[in-house]
Amino acid sequence: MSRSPIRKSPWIYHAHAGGCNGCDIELVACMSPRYDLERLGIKWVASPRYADILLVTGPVPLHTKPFLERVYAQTPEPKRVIAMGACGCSCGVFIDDENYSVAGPVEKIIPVDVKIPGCPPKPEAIIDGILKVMRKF
Amino acid sequence: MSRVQAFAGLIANLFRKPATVGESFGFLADTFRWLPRRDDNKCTGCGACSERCSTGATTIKDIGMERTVSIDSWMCIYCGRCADVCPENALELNFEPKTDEERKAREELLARVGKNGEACSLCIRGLEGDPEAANNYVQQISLAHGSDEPKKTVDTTLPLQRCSVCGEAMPVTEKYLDVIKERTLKNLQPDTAAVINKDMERYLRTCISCRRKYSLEWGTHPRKFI
Repeated sequence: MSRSPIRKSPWIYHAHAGGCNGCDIELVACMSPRYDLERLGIKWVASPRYADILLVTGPVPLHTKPFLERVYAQTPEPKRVIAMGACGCSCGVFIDDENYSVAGPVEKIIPVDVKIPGCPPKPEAIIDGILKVMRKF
Repeated sequence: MSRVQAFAGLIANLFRKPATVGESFGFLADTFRWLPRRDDNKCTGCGACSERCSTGATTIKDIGMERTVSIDSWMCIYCGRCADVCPENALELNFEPKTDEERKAREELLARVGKNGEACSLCIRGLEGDPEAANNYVQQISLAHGSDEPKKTVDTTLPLQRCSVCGEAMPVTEKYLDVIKERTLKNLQPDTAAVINKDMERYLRTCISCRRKYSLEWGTHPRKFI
């Protein structure tokens, strides 16, 4: 395995791009005592300027698109992106050619490294996804 | 009284195990729903699931003489509508053991692996000594993990019916017609069924344009079967 610049503690910024909050609740479950992510050194941060990993949930509505692009630009290099949930992977139930308000899955807007499928994904799957993105640094 | 209870709880907490699950993860609950699993022997390729799918994850594609029914893991939201609507009950979303054999196999696996799950999908440290159990375990749990792998699909491929007259592919599978025929004949009186059997065979396995051409000649006007 190549030497990654971030070996221990990834800081994650959670960008909520128009999801239904289901994924966000699972993320809260990840941080709670049962699946405690902080014991693995993974930390939630309040600003993309500190973050190593962007975690995007939701199908990205048209209104959120410029903000997501800005958040991606604000994250310092090296950075990786996780798209989470069925919406993040493929727009989920919002996938429709006639849908006027959705700017398409996250992949269309910013480059995505890891996708975590599920509606919502289990905390185990989220942890798995974060560990997998660590290997991609 | 309440203080005594609180104190007793405090002392009991000192000796309690931590609530955090280990680095490895336990079994999924039996009722937990994940990507539908399709029984290839039962599926007839009728397409009811793709019509009912709420996200368009289930698709049907006819290429050449084959029909492929597939479920896209990135789109599926595990609503279970496909399993509800499936006339053959070929789809399952949970891990619930249905038969006695399955139940027994699960109990054996649990006895080997341990209920709290010493094994894990990331690293199968707990199962190093037991490759068979590890294999079973990984097969069971691998659907729920796995993220950066390429898109997973659940596919079933079935042969399409050839028209008995013109020989072109019809938009139905052979198996579906077999099932329809069997069920229709089952509902009829035996002597009626014997009469109808041959006509029906010819009628079902002929494409629509050929049916129109020959229905008068054969005496198999569609109304006969309504």
